[in-house]
Amino acid sequence: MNAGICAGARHLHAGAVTARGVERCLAARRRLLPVCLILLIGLLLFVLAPVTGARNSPTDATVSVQISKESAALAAAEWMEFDTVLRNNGATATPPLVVHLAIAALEKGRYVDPEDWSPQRTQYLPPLQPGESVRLPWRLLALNEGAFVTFVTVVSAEESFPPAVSASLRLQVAPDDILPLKDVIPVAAVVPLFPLALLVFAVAHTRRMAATRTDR
Amino acid sequence: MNEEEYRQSGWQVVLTSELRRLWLGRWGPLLLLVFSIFLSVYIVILAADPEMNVLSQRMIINQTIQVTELVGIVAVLLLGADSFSGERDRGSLESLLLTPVPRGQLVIGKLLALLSLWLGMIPIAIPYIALVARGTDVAMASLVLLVIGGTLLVGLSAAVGVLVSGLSPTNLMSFAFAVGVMLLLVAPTQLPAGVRDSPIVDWLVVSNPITAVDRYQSAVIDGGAWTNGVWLLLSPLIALALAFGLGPRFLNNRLSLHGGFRP
Repeated sequence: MNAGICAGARHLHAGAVTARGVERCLAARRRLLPVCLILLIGLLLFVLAPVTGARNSPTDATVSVQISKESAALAAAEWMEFDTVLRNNGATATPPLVVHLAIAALEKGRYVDPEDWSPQRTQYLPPLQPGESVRLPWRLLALNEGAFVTFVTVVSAEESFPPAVSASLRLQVAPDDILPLKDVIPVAAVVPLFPLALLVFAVAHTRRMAATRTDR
Repeated sequence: MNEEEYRQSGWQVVLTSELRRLWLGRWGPLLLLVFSIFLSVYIVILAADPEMNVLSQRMIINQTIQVTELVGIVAVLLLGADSFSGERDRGSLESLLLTPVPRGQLVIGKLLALLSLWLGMIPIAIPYIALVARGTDVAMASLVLLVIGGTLLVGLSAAVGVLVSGLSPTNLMSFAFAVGVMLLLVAPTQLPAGVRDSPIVDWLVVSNPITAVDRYQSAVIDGGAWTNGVWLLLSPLIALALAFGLGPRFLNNRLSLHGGFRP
């Protein structure tokens, strides 16, 4: 390349190789070198970008999750149902999706065992085509009383897929109305009094009979 | 009452004597007290334990009826197992055998006295069953099922207990054998659902009085018609008829001071 530039300098100066001409030639080399390096690096980046950059850049498929209810008030031991609608808003198909239902207590120390709350907490979906949507039904058993929140998360085995989360469904669970303790305690406390009274009577009767025998 | 009258209605004399001993001699009221305390603790745990909310109300009703019947079965079985072998151990059987009452009538009198314990348990269980079944359309059905199913099973366990007791030389052997027989009968209720689906196990379940009653009760409480599975009650009815019809006849010739099978 340097020979070419110098040849150009020679041509410019009509075949006379002067000291000034050589200087110009070297100056041109110094200006062109950084430009070439920048061009080379740019070319390398352009060629290699799909390979190195794919791991961290999200795909252009965007999934939205809509939940059919915002809040619900129910009693413990009561079942509720709701739907979520997943929609692919992107221009390409999504990878296969995993849709997971999560439940959390809003009060610290409140016990939640999600396995008991829902018999099916994870649903698996095939890829969603651009613009396609799918409705997923969920069933939930309000196991404990208190304030809870449930939401649906969409993830995929493909690492590039950005997780999507639905809005939260707030649950206010009232105490169990099938067998409330306030109704159970009086029955549990009063009923044993009847056989107790019978036992007291039987003991008193036995003693009375024994006393009668002794008197005779 | 002359000897002929004793021969005809000796079971009434035995029944009266046994009832007096059971109800005025503390055992009956004490067992009822234990039974009611057990049911109270059970129902409080049921109400307080959030894990129990997994069960539907109908499952809770069915479970409560089963627990009530099971306690009745165990109580009557143990008392039945003590009926003759206990007298043997205490040395009072000889005087009983010397009475002019036929031995089969001794058995009938003791059996009926044992059933009076279940008759005492039913009114105690009613408030608990009514509490768990309130607000459902099977509240009355639950009580009827308790009376029908419970009486069949408790009657059967009383017969098993008395029969074993009549033949056992000692009380310990009587208890062990009676409990063993009842455990064998109760065991199929614990089989996993998958195993129960096989035809052979299904036949065993239907022919076993305890599992047959359990299945009938579950079907009715789950909303089935009373007549749908009523044939399931055949095996407990047949077993009860055999136990009450043949048991006293069998023991009439074999009830002896030392026990055993020899007439």
